[in-house]
Amino acid sequence: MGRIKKSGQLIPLLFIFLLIFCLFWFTLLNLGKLMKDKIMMQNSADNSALSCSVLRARALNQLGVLNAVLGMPGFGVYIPGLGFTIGKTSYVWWIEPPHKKIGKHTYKDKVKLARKAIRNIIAIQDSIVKTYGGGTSFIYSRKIARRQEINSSNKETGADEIIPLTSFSLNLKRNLGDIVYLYTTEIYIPPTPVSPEIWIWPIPYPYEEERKSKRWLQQDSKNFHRQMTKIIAYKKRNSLSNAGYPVGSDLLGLKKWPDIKTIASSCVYNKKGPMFPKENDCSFMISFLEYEKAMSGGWYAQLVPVGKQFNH
Amino acid sequence: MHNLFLSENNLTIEKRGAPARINFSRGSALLETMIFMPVFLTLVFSILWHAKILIIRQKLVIASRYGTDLIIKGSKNMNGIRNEIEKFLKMKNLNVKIKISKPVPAPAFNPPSSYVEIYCKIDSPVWLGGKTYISARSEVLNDTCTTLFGKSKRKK
Repeated sequence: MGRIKKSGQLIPLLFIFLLIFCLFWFTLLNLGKLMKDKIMMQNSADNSALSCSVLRARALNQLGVLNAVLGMPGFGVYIPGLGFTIGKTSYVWWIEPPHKKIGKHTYKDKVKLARKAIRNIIAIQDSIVKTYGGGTSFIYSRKIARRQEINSSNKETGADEIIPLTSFSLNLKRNLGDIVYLYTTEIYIPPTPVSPEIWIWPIPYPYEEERKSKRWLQQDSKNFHRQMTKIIAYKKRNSLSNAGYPVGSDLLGLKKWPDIKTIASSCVYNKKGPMFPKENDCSFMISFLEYEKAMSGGWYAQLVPVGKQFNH
Repeated sequence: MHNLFLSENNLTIEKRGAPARINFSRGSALLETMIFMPVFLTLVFSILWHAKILIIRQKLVIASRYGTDLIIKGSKNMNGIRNEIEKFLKMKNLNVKIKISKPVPAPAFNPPSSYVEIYCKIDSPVWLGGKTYISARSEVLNDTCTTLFGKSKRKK
């Protein structure tokens, strides 16, 4: 009969247990890190997309105000109204206050000031459109995505990069049309014993006509309704924060740490209206009236479902 | 004279032709268990401790996001947000750092953002490194400047 080995029975069993527990421990560490990274990366994509939409909303709110100023009527003394539109031509008339100088006088200071003011407002609008409708939005969104995690060495270890799936454009176009600048004429004849006082003020007179000049901002009819930002944030497998992972790679048979990709989508909305006139709409004071309708709503930003193509 | 023979399992002592056997196999299981048990318990404790750390870390990430969501919704009260986060986490040794930035009119190239940072100190055994610090962060651009330019009163 063969002898039954009594000693050393527990050692192999315990080593198997030890190995299983080690594997369990490593799996826990790897899965825990993966889950934490996944949650952080989803935050990263969400906050990045949301920040991009907030920038867009800020731009639209400010552009709306400037657009309203461009469409404000120019009636009344001392009111800095810039212009109004009749048909396809805009008339800009900054009325000179009365001077009551004897004779016929024309005053061109205000019309020059008005032209300068309009060009400056258009320049400010253009700078906002260029800044927030392109590269700056991308750079800012990427910065937000990266800064979702900062390690003890003060290095940004959030998302490595972002991929925008939609355009950052504000989907606005410049309306081009004729602008007629008007100056003010005043006729004043003081009263005499035989004649009454004659004072005619203000008399508009064309000073300059600009053909196909830049006017207000209008909706880009093809894309204005698509105010959505879709962003993929990803962390590479060789990222700084992935150093040392996967733990126990030889035991678990894992050679590579996976790339983590998350997607998020956001949009801007205004409950009261679009705030900007439709394409080629040149009705009376249109840019001012469109702003008036939508100003109580204002542009806001929110996260929205990504869509059918990408499951959230 | 004694002759010692070390067999496979037993230590055999022969004395004057009458062998006397001392059997050590009976206590070996206990001895092995005694050696192995601290290693085993250490491993189990490590697994539990790391699981706890990972859960806390995930909770901190979720809580920080909760904080920035409150900022996005328009909350300007930093103490209120701090209380909400502390109520959500129900933990000791928390340090919640909040920054709510004011909006800057366009076209600012780098408008200041708002963030919530949560730090947590956990006391752990010396052999696991002593005190452990866990942190989480969430950052976002918060204000659409609607009230600045639109003068609107949003219904919440």
